[in-house]
Amino acid sequence: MTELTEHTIDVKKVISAVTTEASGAVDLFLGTTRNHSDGKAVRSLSYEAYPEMAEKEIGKIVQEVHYRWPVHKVAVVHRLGDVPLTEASVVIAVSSSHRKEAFEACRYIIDTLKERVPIWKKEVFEDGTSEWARSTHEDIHG
Amino acid sequence: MTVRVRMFASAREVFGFELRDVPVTDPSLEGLKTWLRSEFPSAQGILSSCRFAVNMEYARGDAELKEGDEVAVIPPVSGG
Repeated sequence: MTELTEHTIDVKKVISAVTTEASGAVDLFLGTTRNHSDGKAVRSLSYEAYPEMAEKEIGKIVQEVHYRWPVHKVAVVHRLGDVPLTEASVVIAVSSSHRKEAFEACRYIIDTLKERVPIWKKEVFEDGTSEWARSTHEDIHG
Repeated sequence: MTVRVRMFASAREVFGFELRDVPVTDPSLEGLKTWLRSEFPSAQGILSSCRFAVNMEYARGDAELKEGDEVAVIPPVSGG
């Protein structure tokens, strides 16, 4: 399941999309809006995408995951538009027999999404200004 | 020859358009970049930090363009 949505992400639905009777593990990642960036206070984030290519690129990343790890199912949902503090901009779920591959695959997806997928976030600061985010080393490598 | 150019995020703001059909005489990505730099001299700075996609695939500098190709100007991404 790969989806771009303007709505609040239904995390339970994402988990259900990957859970199988053969799975002993479901790894879940939420990327959430935090209240600071580079020392400045953030009010909210706003996301924009090149939607057709973003879906295609996420699809490629999911294929890479299936090729590299014995996972069962993968779901990636990215939210577009305004995402208030503490809410999720991206939810990723991976199921597998054992936890090792689920952890590794899930991490790969978020790390790779941050490098390749044509989605951009605009940081809206408490002082009223806003700025397109520049990805930092932490963003890409955690 | 015409290609469809799509701008996103900071590139859209700097170039001032989302979507535009652009006439290219030199049917290559380099040719398109040259045209963009000459038509939008104040936007030159941003191009060097952008990647380009042709028909939704990241393209290399030496990519050739065909009639009707969709070229996207992709500033540094920041999803997730």
